Amino acid sequence: MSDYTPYVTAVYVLAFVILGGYTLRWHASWKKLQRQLDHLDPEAP
Amino acid sequence: MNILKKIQLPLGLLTLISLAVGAWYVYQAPADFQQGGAVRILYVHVPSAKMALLSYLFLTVASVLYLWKRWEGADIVAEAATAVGAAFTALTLASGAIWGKPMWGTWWAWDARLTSMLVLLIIYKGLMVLRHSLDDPVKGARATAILAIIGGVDLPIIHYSVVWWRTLHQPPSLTAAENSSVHISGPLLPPLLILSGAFILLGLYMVTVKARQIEARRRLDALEAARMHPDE
Repeated sequence: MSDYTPYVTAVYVLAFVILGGYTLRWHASWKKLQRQLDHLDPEAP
Repeated sequence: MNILKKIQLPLGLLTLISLAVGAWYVYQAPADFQQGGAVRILYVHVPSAKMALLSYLFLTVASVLYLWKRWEGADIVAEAATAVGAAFTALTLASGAIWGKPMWGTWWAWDARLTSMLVLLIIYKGLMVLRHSLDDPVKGARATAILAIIGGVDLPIIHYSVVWWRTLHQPPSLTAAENSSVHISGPLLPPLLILSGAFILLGLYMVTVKARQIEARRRLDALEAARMHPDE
């Protein structure tokens, strides 16, 4: 383990949290909106 | 925006595969003779910075298309690219700060590259605020498109900042001459190139997810408005 391991780990965790977090959040939000749309307008494509 | 639905799954799979291959190369990459293991931070920092700039390029092109053709799809892509670009810019600044502490001895310096990148984050956030600060969504979209095009002036400043000014940030290393001290080559290069490609795919995937969410929200808002004001 090098002296830089905490810094390297922090960056990879941060990348996972920021990029993965936004992707999952937007996907979940789209699913929720789509369910509401299907309920309001079931004949829409 | 049917195309987004078609490309989302293959793009997502391609992104996962390229990220996995990139992670394997990062794991295998040797430590740099000067930076030691901290060089692994650059495999996130550099691809993230490239995607932050590429997102703004999408945003500018989509904004021009929206103002020219009045195509709502272009406005949706512009809004999605703004959110994605802001995420990558924030990651670039944070990873740069974390690399800077052990390498430069400081988290932050008011260096031309760092400052112009911070300005990019402020522009992204400003565009998000501006869009939602106007009651009329069409006016919001137009104002955002105009500001996005004006803000595009920051892109060449970021790119050439390390050439135009003497900065703490190193000059371009991929295009540097082979005898230059900042030239990246050998086993350090493949993870950088693979992860740059993977981050571009990830960014495109994030744009498709965000664009579909925006499109669904707009359709829902329109339906609810029609239900509340059936005579209009």
